Amino acid sequence: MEKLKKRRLNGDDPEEEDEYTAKSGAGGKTPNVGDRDECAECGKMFTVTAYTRPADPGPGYLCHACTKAAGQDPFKPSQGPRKRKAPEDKRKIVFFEVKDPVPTLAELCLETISQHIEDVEALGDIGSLNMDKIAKIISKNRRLNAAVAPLFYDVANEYLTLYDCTGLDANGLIALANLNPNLVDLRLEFCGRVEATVIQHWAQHLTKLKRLELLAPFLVTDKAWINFFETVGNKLEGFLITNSPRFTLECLGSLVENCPNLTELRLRRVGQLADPWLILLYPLKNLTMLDLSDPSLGSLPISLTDEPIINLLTNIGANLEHLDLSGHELVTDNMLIMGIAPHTPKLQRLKLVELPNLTDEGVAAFFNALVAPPLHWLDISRNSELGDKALTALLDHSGAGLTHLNINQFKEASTEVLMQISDKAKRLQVVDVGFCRGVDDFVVKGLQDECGDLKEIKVYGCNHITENCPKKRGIRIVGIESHTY
Amino acid sequence: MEDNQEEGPSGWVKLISDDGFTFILPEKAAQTSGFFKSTLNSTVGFQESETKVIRCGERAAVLETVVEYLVFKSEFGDSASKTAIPDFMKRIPAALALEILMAADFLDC
Repeated sequence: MEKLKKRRLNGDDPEEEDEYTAKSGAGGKTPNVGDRDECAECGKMFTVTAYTRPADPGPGYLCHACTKAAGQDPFKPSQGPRKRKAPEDKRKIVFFEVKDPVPTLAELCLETISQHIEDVEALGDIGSLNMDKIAKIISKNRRLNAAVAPLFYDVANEYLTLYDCTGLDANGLIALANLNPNLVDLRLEFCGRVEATVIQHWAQHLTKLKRLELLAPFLVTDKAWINFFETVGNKLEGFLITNSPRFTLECLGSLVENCPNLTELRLRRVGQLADPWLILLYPLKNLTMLDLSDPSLGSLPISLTDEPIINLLTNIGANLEHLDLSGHELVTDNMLIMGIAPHTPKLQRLKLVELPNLTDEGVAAFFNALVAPPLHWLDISRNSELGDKALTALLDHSGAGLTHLNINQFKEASTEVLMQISDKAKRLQVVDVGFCRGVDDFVVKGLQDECGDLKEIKVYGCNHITENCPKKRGIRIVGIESHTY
Repeated sequence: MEDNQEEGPSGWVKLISDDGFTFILPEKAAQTSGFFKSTLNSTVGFQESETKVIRCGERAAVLETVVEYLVFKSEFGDSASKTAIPDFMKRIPAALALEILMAADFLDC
């Protein structure tokens, strides 16, 4: 078609090549094959055949010799419409595993390590490395499986933490116990594949186990839990689980009955948690850590209420050092003032995240009434009703002791009061003032100047901080809007 | 503090290891690593973006393999490339694999 276009541009007749519209012997009728006709060029008589070409220009037809002289080979079959070159297969099939032809260096290293796992010598001197860091990296890349896990196993191990156990099936988890028989403290995250047979095996073979921390053991049935507690008995001192809808009232009863030496208890996101459960906890007078947070299942609100919690704390608050009662919709200021404040003299770490009924005055009254010495660790984030009064009371009570403070979403807090943080809480190491609109460059500067141990400041959503926000060597500031690029 | 004020040649970046070895590679290759990319980004204003010299906290043996990978990736990382991609795994010494893993995770490459 290009040739045609070019010809058109040159003003030529574009109908040359097309079979159907090519010039006929204009003027006369198309001669039939077999007729004798006079050649338009040389005048000789010739027989018209199927190969006779019309003269160009002008009417008439050419004889064979003149056709050839004109440069057109009469026997050449007329060219059909120009075919395009078959287009390269544009549809590239991308297999979803192969997005990038070159894997990341981390992936390549993990492959190398998997291949050499049998030969411990080949991987060099493991002892000097930070194996916990390696565990985190491997879990982050979702590569922890039965083949790689032995990197962390050792007969002498007393502590073991694995951050992603989705790659370990029941057999892998049973093997974990067999290869680490002397475990005292076991922490497994994302261990959704732990089931009844597994914890039964653990109970029988991990004879020294004192502390078990599991994230998401949702397959374990209530009977299996009960069986576990009965087998492990009074050796168990720490039982911390998150995300288990199958943990029932009976399980809790069995736990309290069989494990009276419990000092740490976490039942977080345990969907069946309810007020009647709290009465069962009264015998656990040795508890130093209690976490009953976030029971809600998705959009279904589940919450404890004030009275049962107050009664519970009256009974067991004496030794509590770490308390987490976050995420209970129905809890009010009353629970704090009547429950926590008078009954927890040893409290050091307190977490009261997302309790929507708390008020500014109420929390202020709580801190004014709090019997305990200054807290070290406080997280009352995501309570957007709180502001100046609560913050002032908080600083007055615990400022001297606080190393970690999280007041994310104290929306109403004013700049003046926020400036007081650096005056009253000089021992701060980590502080989160995200979404506190009153925070500006001067507040940040104050913190950097006054708090000698400060390591990290989080300021997400603080839109009054400008590019000129001061920086200080050794202090990480995270979340400044103008720094996104 | 910073006694090394010289700039590397333009388009190139100098990496200095913990034990004093120097590696020079094209800036394009260095930017394969998310960490180096942000360090060299002039909008953020780190000193390294001007001097083009970065002091890495890695041993030379580890950094050598990392640099080799960065150049390898910048050459073959383009998915339109039709040439056969050589296998980089052979270039990772097993004895250093764990250390390189930690470096790769930190440098985001």
